[in-house]
Amino acid sequence: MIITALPGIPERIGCTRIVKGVAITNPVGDPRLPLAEEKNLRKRLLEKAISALEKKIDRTLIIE
Amino acid sequence: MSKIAKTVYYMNQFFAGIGGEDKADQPPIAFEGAQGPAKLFAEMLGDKGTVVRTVVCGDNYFAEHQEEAIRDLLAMVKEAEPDIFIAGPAFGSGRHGMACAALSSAVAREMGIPAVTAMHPENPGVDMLKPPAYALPAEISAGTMKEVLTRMCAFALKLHAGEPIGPSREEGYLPRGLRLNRIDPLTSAERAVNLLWAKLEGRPYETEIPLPKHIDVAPPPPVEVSKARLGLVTEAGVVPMGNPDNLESWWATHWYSYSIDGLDGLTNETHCTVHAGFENTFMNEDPDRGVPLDMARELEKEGKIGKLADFYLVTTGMMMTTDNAQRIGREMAAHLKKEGIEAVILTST
Repeated sequence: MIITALPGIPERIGCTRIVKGVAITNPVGDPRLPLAEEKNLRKRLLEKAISALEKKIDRTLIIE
Repeated sequence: MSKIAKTVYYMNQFFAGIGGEDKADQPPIAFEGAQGPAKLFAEMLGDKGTVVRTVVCGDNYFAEHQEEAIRDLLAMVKEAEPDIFIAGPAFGSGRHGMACAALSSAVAREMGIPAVTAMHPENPGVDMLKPPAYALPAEISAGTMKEVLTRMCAFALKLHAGEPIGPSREEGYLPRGLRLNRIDPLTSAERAVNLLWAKLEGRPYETEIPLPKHIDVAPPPPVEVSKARLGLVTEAGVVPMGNPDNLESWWATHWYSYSIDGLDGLTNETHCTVHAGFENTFMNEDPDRGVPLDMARELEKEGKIGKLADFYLVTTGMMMTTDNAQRIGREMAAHLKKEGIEAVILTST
């Protein structure tokens, strides 16, 4: 699956499991947050990614 | 007046009359003169050319030994010293189309002679056709052989005569992804308004930039991640400090595998990004913002991820050509499969 701040791009080229990331400069991070919160955010993104991998789907899934 | 066009003609085992699927493993072989459809082609050439050699390869042999097949066929083609090269037509047949496209592209590139093939516009071979070779559109069924050969013959002779070739739409060949600049008497503002006007009035119009087609892929089945081997892959250009393999910052043609064995995260002392497509400061401060190793490790310890691969894969996605992207994706996938990885989290910038 893919984590990206621009889900429309992988969606168009055939990726089927997509999680929306934070930003182009930091798809799985956020420099505006204090470190502990940032790590939590990263962990939640990974948990969303894992849930996408574990879901049976018959068409593209985008998790925001 | 052009000199006579000496032609070498390629076709698969079926059109050469060697056999059907049962002979699809036929290795490259050359026949003097014209075989199969090359005979009709030779008639169409008339006194403007001759078919001096027909080279043939089984569709399966070509698909399974592409490098050697091209090498051996190219040698057979070169030996006959042709002025033009013709392949196919492949119609709707995928393996034949890919062989015609790959061989025509190699001949055009290495020998600098006109190389023309033909196939249905949705034949997988179309994507493999590279300039300076040309592919003409054909129907799916081989029933239209005479009509296609007529067009191929006329087009090949035009190339042989050195005549200038215009855009694909005007000349009747399949687009090859090349855009040629030319001056238009109207400004883009005028053309845009004209286009909108035609659209609003229900008149025919044609976009200047067709949007890429949406690609449909069947979703792979789910994976139980808590029991699976999971790999991290990125196009964010995150590499060990010092970029030991010189991963390119843009127009990348390479990808690399780096060990994360024993690492609980990436730091600004151990890793950095070399990607030229975005402001690197934040990812350099903490490369986990590109490759989420720290939290992936935590999830592994908690049992939510069965086992993290002991490596991650990286390339740089800035201005990567689609050809390279597809090749790199295939190579990475093969590597991941070989390493027993069952699921991947790809991070993209």
